[in-house]
Parts: sequence; C-alpha cells; structure tokens
Amino acid sequence: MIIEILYPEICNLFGDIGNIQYLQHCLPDAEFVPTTFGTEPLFATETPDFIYMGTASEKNQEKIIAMLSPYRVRLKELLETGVPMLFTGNAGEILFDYIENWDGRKIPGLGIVPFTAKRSQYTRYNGLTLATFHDQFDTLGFRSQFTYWYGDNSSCPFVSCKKGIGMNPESSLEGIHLHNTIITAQLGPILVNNPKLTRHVLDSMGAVDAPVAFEKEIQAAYDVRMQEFLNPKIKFSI
Amino acid sequence: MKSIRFYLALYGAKLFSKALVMLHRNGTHNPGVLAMKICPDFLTQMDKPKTIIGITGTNGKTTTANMVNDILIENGFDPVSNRTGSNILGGIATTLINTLNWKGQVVKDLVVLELDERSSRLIYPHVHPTLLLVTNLFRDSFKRNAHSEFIFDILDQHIPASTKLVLNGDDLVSARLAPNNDRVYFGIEPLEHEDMTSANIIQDMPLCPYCGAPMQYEFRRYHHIGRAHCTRCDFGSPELNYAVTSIKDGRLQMRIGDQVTDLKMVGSSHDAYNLASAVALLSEFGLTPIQLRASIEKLQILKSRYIDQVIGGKRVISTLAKGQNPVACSRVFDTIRQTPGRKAVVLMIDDLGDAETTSENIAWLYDTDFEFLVDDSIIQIICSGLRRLDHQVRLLVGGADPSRITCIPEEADAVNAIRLDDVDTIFLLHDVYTAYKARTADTILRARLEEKEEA
Repeated sequence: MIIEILYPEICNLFGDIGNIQYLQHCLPDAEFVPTTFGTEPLFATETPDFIYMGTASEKNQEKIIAMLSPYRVRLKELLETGVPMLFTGNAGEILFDYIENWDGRKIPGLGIVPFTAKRSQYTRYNGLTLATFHDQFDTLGFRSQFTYWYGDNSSCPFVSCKKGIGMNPESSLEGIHLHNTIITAQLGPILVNNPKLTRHVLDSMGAVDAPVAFEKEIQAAYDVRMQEFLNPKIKFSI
Repeated sequence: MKSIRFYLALYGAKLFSKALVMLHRNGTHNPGVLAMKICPDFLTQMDKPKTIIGITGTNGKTTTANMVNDILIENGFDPVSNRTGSNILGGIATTLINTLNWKGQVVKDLVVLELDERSSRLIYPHVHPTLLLVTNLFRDSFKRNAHSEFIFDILDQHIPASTKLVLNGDDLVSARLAPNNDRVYFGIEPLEHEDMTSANIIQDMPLCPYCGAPMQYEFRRYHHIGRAHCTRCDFGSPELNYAVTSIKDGRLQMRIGDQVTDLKMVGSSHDAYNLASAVALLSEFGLTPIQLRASIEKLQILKSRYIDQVIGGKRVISTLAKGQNPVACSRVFDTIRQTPGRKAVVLMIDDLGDAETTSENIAWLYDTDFEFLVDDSIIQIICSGLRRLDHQVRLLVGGADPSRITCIPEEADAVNAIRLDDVDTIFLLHDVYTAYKARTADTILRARLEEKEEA
C-alpha cells in the first residue's frame, strides 16, 4: 500500500501532519511517500492508494497551484476513478476554479471541482463543527480559515452540520465528497479526532483489516469532546 | 494644536486610571480605550516621548521586556512601561498617557513597550518606535495568529520607515522584515557540543521566500532557527552584529562590537536568545558592555514563569509551557529530555480561557514535539485537566509507552500520582492560565516530599 503526502514541508500549518503520523500506526506496513516541493508527484506516474494534502500559507497555495498545473488532468482522472484522497484546511482550494483574494484578485485554481473560495485579509473564521457523515456517524472538527467556499455541494457534501457553519455562513453543508475524495475546511488531525471517519478512510483505500490505531483511547477523547460540543453553552463561532 | 476632545480624553483617561487604582482594579488597558473612544485620533495628536523602545515577536517578549526594564532602571533610567499590563492598542495608549502630565505635556522621555505582534497594524500608524526589537516569529495560537507568514506580513507592512530594527539573525522569518529599515542582528553561534540537527516536526522556512528553491541549513538549532542559505538565489542568513559565542557553567560569552563580554546566564538555557536580544537592543540604545554586565549580574527571571528548587532531595521545576504555542512547548519538552536523571512530567497545559467558552482546538498538539517526551529518562508522564485524553492520544501517536502515561482529571491531584522513589526531577508544566493550578500542585507536592524526607 502506497500513501502519497503532497508537499508536507509546506502543507502542515495546523497540525495536519498528525493525520499522517496517525495513519502510520494504522498502516505500519504501508509505504508513505512525501512529495517535496519542486519534485514530480508520485501520482504522475503511479496510482497511490491514498493521497493526502494539508494546509498551506496563502502565498504557498499559489505556488502549489503553479506546481501542480502540469498534472491537472492526471489528478482529475485519479479523483474520478475513485483514488481516495483527503484535503484538509485550505488544501482543497487549489482544486477549485479560483480563489478570490481580499483585494478582488482572482487566483485561478486547477479547476478540478466547480467551487470557489473568497479570502479576507485580516478577518478569520474560527469555529467548531459538529456534523454527520452521510447519516452514518457524527464527526467533530475545528476550523480556522481566511476563506469561505462557494458552489453547489448539495449533492456531494462531506458532512451535514448539526452545529457550526458549512462551506460559508449561509450553508450547513461542509466540504465536498466526490467519489473517494474528501475536501474539508476542517483542519488538523481530523482522523485522530474521528475514529469512525478513520475507519471509513481505511476502508476506502482497501485496508479493511487495518486497525483504527489506539481506538479505545481516541474514542474516549472523542466522547469527551462530543459532550463539550453538545453543551448548548459553548460557542461554535469563536 | 490639540483639540478639545484630546484634552477631554486625557482628563477622562487619567481620572479613570486613578479610580481604578483606588478600587485596586487593573487599570492598564481601559483608560487608553476610553481615551480613544472620546477622541479617536488621540494617539496621533498626543506628543510622544523622545525615545520609544518597542519589543515584539512571538516568543520571549515579556521576559525580554522585563530584562530591558530592569537593566534600564539599574542604570539610572526611569522608563515608563507596560510590564504589568496590556500589550495591545488600549494598553499601549494607557502606557503612553502615563508619560504625559495633565496639560498633555511629555514628562517622561523614555518608554519601553511590549507590543503584541498581531496588533501592529493598529499601533504603528500612531506610535513610531525609535528602536524595535523583534525576538522571533513562530507559529502561535492558530486562533489568534493564524501562521507566521500572516504575522510577518502585518509587521512588514506597518513597521515605520524611521524605526531602527534589532532582529534575530538566526530567524530567517523575522530577519527579512522591513528590508529598507536600518537594522542590526543578534544571534547565537553554533556552540560547543550542541546538537545542530533539529528534529522538530515543524519548520517554517523550508523554501526560499523569494525564489521557492529549497533552503540549505548549515545548522538548525530548533524549528527554523539556525543558519541557512537558498540553494538557488543569494538569500541567506545575515552576518551577526551581536553574537553569543559560548554558554558554559552559567556564563555566556557575547561578542559586542569588537569585544567579547562575559555575562551571567539568566534563567534557563532557552532564555539565551532573550538575553542576547536584550543586550543587542540596549547596546543600540547606548549602554556599554560594562554597564550591561554589571546590571545582568543582578537580573532574575520572573518567578511565575520558571521556578527551579530542591525539595526533599528531589529537584522540582515548575515552568511555563504556553498552551496553544507549539514552539514554546516543544522548547520546554526538549529541555526536559536533555535534563540529566530520571524524570516525571506533569502536564497542566489546558487553555482555561477556551475551556470557559468553547472547546480547545487541539490541532496544535500535532505541531508540538511530544516525541521529545518519549525518552528512556522520562519514566512517568501525567496528563491532567480537561484535555488529558487528547494529550494521552498525542503521546501515543508520538510513540510513548502506554505504561508510562497516567491520566488524572484534576491538576492538583496529578502530583499525587508521581512515583517519587523512581525519579530525580519532577517537571510541572503549566499554561499562563493554569499557573495558579501549578502553584496548588506545587504545594501538595512539597508536602509529600517533605513528609517523605521526615519519614
């Protein structure tokens, strides 16, 4: 099993590498291949079992779009043929049609999924998300973002929010789930925080026998956090 | 010519300040806020002291500002400062009001301001520091500061052109600030026996910010601190004007101009950059190496941040490990790892501010090097507080032996779980908000250790 991590040296802003550290415990025999900036992605010539990308700074987002432009068609093909991928934080924005900067400048994305992002200069949304994944299980997540996302994800949300905002303040549907690709604005170690989501991701890459590492401990931490998220007094927009 | 509103604001703020003092309330922020409410351009209109020293950056600014104030006072200066108060706009306004008399005339010619880096865009249009020390720029609270590039941009766009900068030459993020400003650099040269192959998870300067090529590090002390150059263009670490050349036996040798000065090491080893930055700043201010050396001999680190004591034959170190600050915590974890002997660590690092209103975003734990606590010499790690299970999971992901981890709900109870016979040193790590819990834990631990010694 091969897992490709795209540009981990710059796509790691909000604890994102925790997802990879954690998957290494779930899949001790898998090969984890970091693709560093400036080198050809593994997916250009091979088909990884899973591709992961975490949050980058706004300037680096633009550099990544330029770096991945030659591989746009290949990445789209992998997405459409069901290769599992996970994009956390602002990583998925590179796949969008464009990112609109605070000054009105439109930064063309890879145009792989029909969504856009609008970025503010100083104002950021910090918040929590309590949501359900296709009516199968609940997920808990954290948000810290300069952008809101726009487009119609009604047929392909990652999760439906019970508390907290979706792609933007007017939406209750968060993220995008197309084929086996998950694009979410929730940041950081989302797999560590959500044992059932980890199970789903492992299954989607064919690792049905792989354990959810430290399942008892991460379930206990999840249960405590769920009680906090269910508390009507806690703020979901911080 | 100042407006009537300016004087109304001045009188209002001064009266408010006096009332707060009489009521034994903290009056370091709100008088300034009131002044700016009455007169929105109050800061622009007010006369400023002749010399404004600013100290900003992610880590070390409070410790460094305290050192700078103490050294200035020791040398006969009378600085007005915000050392006991707020470092955002309201606090800065309050402090500057304290340099004025009731007529609005400047009666103090020196002010030392600790400045919140994120508030730069609100402060610098009105307040132009004569000297500005930037200690470093790292990741900090995601919620407050997003990421270091975001903070860099805010500072870079707002630092006044007239300000002379004192920058950390070992920090390639902050060293690039305001390139047209006059500047000097401080740093620490590679030290004897120093491990120069940092194994931190995060490093915020992997690529050249100008051409995007990989950076080549000659050495990495921790995170992106070290010396490096771009593999393609001519970007790289600057020459140091002030350089620590050795740290040994509680003394620090520092090159100041052409001469090397011997100084007392203040605080723990990770305060070396704070001390070096204070020396560089005050040298630029005009103090001589002789003045600096004499003053530094008398310096102490604020007790609430670092207490190192021996109780009942065991060393007990209570230290700040700032929650939601991955670099600050990683530095402390690294120090623990390198401390000789068998150790127990008690984590009391919840963000109680978040706990009151929301649920702490624990993503920062995965930017923090909990792996440093996975060491044969650390035989017990006690996770306490609301986030104890998250800390436990983080340690497991980092490779910790589950049998060495204990989870205790209450911070104060955590010290009762320490196996005293098995350890030489006990570390009590607390956040700013949990310092009072650490004091309670320390009292309980002291009683245990003294009882054990008597028995």
